[in-house]
Amino acid sequence: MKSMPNYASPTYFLRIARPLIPISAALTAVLLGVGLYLALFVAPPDYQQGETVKIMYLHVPSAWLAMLIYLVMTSAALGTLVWRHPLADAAQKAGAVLGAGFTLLCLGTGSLWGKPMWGTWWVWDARLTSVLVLFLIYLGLVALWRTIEDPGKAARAAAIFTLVGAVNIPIIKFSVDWWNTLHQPASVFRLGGPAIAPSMLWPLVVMVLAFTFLFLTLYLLAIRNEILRRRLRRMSILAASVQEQGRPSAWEAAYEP
Amino acid sequence: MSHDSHLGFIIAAYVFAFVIAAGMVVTIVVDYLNLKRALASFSVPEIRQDDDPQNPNPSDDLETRS
Repeated sequence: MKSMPNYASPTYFLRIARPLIPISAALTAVLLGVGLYLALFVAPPDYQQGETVKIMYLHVPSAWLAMLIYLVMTSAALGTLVWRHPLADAAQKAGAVLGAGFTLLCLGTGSLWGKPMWGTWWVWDARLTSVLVLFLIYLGLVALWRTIEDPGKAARAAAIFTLVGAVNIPIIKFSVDWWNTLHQPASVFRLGGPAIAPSMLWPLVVMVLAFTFLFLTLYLLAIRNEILRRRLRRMSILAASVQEQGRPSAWEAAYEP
Repeated sequence: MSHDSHLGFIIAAYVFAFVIAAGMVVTIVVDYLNLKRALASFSVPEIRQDDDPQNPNPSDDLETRS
């Protein structure tokens, strides 16, 4: 039986990611195609919002991912701090840029929905503000990774930052219950089941799945990039060391294929 | 839908989503191609020939943790 560390090794990750990436990409393409067709041509207009409800099919999946990615990064941060595993470092770093991207998408589509529906692009509402804070946390993490040169130190600093920032996730989720907000309360992920009509719910479910597989595909690709980047860094350092110390035998011993 | 007064906002949202998603895809793919090119300059394949699933110390292909 294989040991757990083998399953979590970067080498094993690269081996399983190779077939998974095209499968995940194909599922993303199919689900996006079906989801966009259902959202744009099948789902009915809302009795209050009219066709503007079509923005919901982008806004809700990106909001879901903005929080899901942070939870994934929080798990990876625990992997870094508790087990000090290099794959957890790569998973943390890869998630930050994607999290920032999907959170920006959530904020942008929300703003484009808010202007015609609320009459304003932005309000300092608890839900909107806490999501903006999440976006700033993602940007802070990206900056942190780029500022600290040593990947091990950067990983530990980012892990602590991520764990501290995790307090914002329940604030985002429950902000609409804890405070009086302009943003409507939860209508999909709530006790008692979804509050929206099935004719709108199913296109939304397909779009959520499409976005989730899009994230999975990009995440696998980004983690692979981080593994390669660290390999390249180590090789560059060793190559420079060999050049300085004139030890070609050590270099050859380490990197002969 | 074509008569909806908010059509511009809907189109803008979908264009914005496309730009963000395409931006993430392009960034990651270009990064991968650059890394692959840089690794090729060291004449080492992406996954080394000696990568062995039974390797008891598999994390050695990332930087050693201090």
